Amino acid sequence: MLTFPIKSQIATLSRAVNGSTNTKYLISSLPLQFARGKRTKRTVTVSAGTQRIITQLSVISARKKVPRVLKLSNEDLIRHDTVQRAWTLFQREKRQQQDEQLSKQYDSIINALEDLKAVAPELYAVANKKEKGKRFPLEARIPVDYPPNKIWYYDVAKDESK
Amino acid sequence: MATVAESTSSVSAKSADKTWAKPSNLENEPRAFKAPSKYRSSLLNGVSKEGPPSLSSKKFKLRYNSPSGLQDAFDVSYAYLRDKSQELYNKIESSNENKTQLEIEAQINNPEVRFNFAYNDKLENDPQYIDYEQPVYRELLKQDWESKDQMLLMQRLEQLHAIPDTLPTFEPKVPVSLKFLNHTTVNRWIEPGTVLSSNVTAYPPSIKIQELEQVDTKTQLYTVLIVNPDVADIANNTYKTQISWGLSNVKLEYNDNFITPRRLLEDDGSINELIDYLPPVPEKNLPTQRFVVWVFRQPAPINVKLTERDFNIREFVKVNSLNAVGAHMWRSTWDLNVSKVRELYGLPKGTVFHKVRGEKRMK
Repeated sequence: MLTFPIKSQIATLSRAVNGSTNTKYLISSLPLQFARGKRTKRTVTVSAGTQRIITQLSVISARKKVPRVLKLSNEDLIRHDTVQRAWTLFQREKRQQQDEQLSKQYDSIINALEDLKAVAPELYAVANKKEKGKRFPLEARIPVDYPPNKIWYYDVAKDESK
Repeated sequence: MATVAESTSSVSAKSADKTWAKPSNLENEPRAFKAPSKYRSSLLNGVSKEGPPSLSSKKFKLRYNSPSGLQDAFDVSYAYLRDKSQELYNKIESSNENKTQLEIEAQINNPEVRFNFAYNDKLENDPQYIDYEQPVYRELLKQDWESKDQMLLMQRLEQLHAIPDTLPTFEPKVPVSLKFLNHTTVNRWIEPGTVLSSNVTAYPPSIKIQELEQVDTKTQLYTVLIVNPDVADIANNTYKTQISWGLSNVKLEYNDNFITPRRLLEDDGSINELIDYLPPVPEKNLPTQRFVVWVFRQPAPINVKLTERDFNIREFVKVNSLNAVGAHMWRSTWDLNVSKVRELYGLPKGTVFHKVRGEKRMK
């Protein structure tokens, strides 16, 4: 294969033979820059300040916040999966136990009330008396950023003016 | 709050002897419940200093580091899951209800089973590693199938209107895979709905039907029908359905379920070929033809032979009270190989249609 300077020499010579330019001058001014081989890559013209901003933005970009993907072997992937499955199963069973206990508590409340209804209807009526307007006092606490100095006002009184 | 470690504190989680739970009356444990010996140690006892055997390059083996803390977490988790599994096996022995379901639950968390299923060929399975006789492997395959291939099949069947052009509706239960063997270079599994060259489809397809549910494989029979609902009916200026191939009384094992030409040749006469194979020979200038493969569970043996190609699939299904469980499809269009295929089967020369509107309206 021909090396580049020789190639370009041949090209220029052939052009010279066609008669337009001076052969002697062309050979002396080698190597010649051809348009096809010319570097077109843009040189970095960003100012230092702009570059700093670009760097800062790239540091806080979302991609940087995502941790790298763990490369696990097949064995470790299955081991990891096993740990996750065990944890899921354990949590599920715990949740089921809690649900079961709550439903038992609810059932026993209902049973106790039914017994009360059979034994002492007047007490049942008192126990189920509707207390209209009795609510958690919303004005007692308001949502703030930090806990208050005094945690709870035990002797809060209803504002009589309202 | 209780933790996993507390709940299993009574169990010794030594990494040296890890064996999964098993029923007390088990004589020989299925081979597929054990991971290959090459991987077993690093799977159960952690990756050693030589690196994981699943990596082939020595450079990467030496460079590999397991996540820290995985070893302890795995030991505790393994012991916990094994105890749960043993409870399930005890439950199976005490009562006979839901046996298959309990067997699945007892093995589905076994890391060796999950390893075998994840890293072996699921379709062309080696019963040593993936044994579909075991309900847990069928369950894993079902989950895998439903995650993609089943949806893909239904999409193709619905978008190409195989439903309702052949059967009214369909609930897929059995994965069906299709391959055209031997005579062509296209020796791979066909994705549902692919347009295939008529050269590829010149000989009957090989069909793999993987039963997932608990059936009696000794008695359960299957029917396979390949129908083409796009045959030009010039007399009525419409299209009609023809049957391309039909098999009935096919028995399938859980592991041996690939209906190949060889199997049909070596068959002792139990499989009934309803009608012999007519390859797709689409006419020139007609739209793409669909070839829909339907797989049914049969309630009783079917021993009829069909004489005509014109076929009413809905009536056939109703008469034999067939239950559609699986499907597949491919498409064919006219190409340069059609005349060769016609010659091969002694079919008459095809018709060349022109893009001229008919006088009468299409029905």
